[in-house]
Amino acid sequence: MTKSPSSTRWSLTLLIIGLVAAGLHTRGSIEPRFAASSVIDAQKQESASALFLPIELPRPTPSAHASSVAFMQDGSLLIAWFGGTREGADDVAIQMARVKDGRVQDSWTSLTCEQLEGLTHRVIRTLGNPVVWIDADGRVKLNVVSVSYGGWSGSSVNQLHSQDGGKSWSAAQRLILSPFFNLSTLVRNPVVAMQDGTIGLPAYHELLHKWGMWVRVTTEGRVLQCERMPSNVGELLQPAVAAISATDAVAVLRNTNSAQPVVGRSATEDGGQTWSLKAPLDIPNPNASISMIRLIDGSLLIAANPLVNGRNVLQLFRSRDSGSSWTASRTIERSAPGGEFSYPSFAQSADGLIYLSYTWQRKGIRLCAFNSTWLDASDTEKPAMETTP
Amino acid sequence: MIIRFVREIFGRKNLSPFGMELWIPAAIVLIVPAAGVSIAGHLRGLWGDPSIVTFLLLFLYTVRPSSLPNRPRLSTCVLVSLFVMLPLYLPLFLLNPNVPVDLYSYGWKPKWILIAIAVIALGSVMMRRMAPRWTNIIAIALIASSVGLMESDNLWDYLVDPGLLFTIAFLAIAGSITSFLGSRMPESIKNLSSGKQI
Repeated sequence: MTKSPSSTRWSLTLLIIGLVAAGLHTRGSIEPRFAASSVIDAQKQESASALFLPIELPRPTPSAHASSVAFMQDGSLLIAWFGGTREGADDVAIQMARVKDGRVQDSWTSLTCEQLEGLTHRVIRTLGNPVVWIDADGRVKLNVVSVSYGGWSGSSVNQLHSQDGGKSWSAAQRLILSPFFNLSTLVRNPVVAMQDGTIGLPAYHELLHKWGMWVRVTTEGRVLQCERMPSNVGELLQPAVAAISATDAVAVLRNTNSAQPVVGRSATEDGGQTWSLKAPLDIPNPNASISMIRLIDGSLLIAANPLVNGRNVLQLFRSRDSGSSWTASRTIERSAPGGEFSYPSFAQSADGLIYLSYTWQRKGIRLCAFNSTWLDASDTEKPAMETTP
Repeated sequence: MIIRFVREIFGRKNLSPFGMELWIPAAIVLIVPAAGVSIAGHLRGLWGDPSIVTFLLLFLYTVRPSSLPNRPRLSTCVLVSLFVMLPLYLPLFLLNPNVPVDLYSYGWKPKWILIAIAVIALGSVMMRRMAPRWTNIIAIALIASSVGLMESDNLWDYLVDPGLLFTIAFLAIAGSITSFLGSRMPESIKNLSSGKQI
């Protein structure tokens, strides 16, 4: 190959153009800030009488798991989960239901493997954990795990949006989060809104090693940042993140370490740019998903399976000091070992009612609603839900 | 045999072209549906998308091999393997997640990658070792990243992919072994392996 001065000049010019263009392309605010909701005086909440309301959901499939809930702009609650003949089967689809005034208004199959194949132009063998959320324009967004080949450790995350409340999906963006064939990134817990209109998506990696991740994404599904969450109690995954202020957030994580089976914890003080080690919670964790929400009174609430083994107890824990200490609250479900009440998900309505959905025995999704006063009752052991529906 | 193979890879200036006629049947095969999804869809599900650099190299290889850049030197292959491939992939497989080595995350905040490319380019010019065709390919990949041409928003995915990096690593390892063996080989065997008559 001959190198003429003109070809060298041309190449250098092109490279400078490339460097400048790529440099200018950096999107998003340099200093990300959480859109942490303001705290409402708890007096009004606590004056209400205790309220607990079970809500029956349809069971369209033999198996159901991993629900996610979000409030739509009209005040109705949208619930998404994956269901099929069994977890990992090729007939698994994302099911949805809409609840208003304590009743199911509508339920439907929202997304199948074939539909996602058409949207992403690649083979999809099965679907997994959905995370549903509503953007500032009221559009329903869905982050969903998909597997093309292999098991869950070969999965990827997709982001879709819907203009009709989750009935149909008009776009899909695959989030590329791993340098090695984009393998093994999953989501489980709700997104966190950022001040600049982007979202923080708690995610995790589970091929060979497991760790929690914090991914900042635009509402169109373009990734801006991805940070790992450190661990001091073994391999942690499925972070649930709650913003405390514009800069501070706390994450609780599922723990896969059977030698030290406690809920893991991490925190950020710079809007999610870096995550630091924090002492784990003194709540047992049997390698099971945890959900966390910051209530409008400023306290944190988690739903967890507080056992060393098994998922047959689902209990709530509350913290009034930004996650440093936790006190046991009400028990939602309890059964003999072998039962499963797992993968909880929270949402709180504008009037303060807290909704909790969770997997019931892998056969269906259960939903209940309660207020803050009910949480504070002294009887923490008696299960709130009947074990047999 | 290894010596000849690596010499073949490193020594030849031009590769024999498959020609444009390869692309048409390849495109037809890729859109053929298999189990409801095109073969391209199966490949994308399995491998994802190649980087812009790989795509350009494949394109030049099949369409205009005379415009292909020179094959990278052994030293370049070793440097890329050590300073790009290992930091990109090792954290995924071997290192504890607490070890703060995650080169891939810099692809979303690419300031330091861009500075590194600029420094390497400047050094190449000053040392009169500029490779215009490689520079063009890198520049096109940077421009493609600025317009978000691929699904990924990470600059690394425009520059490299596992297929490209494993090829470079293979060249580095095979070239190093050959170089090591060659330096310890008696002159008579070297002449035999190079095809010279003695």
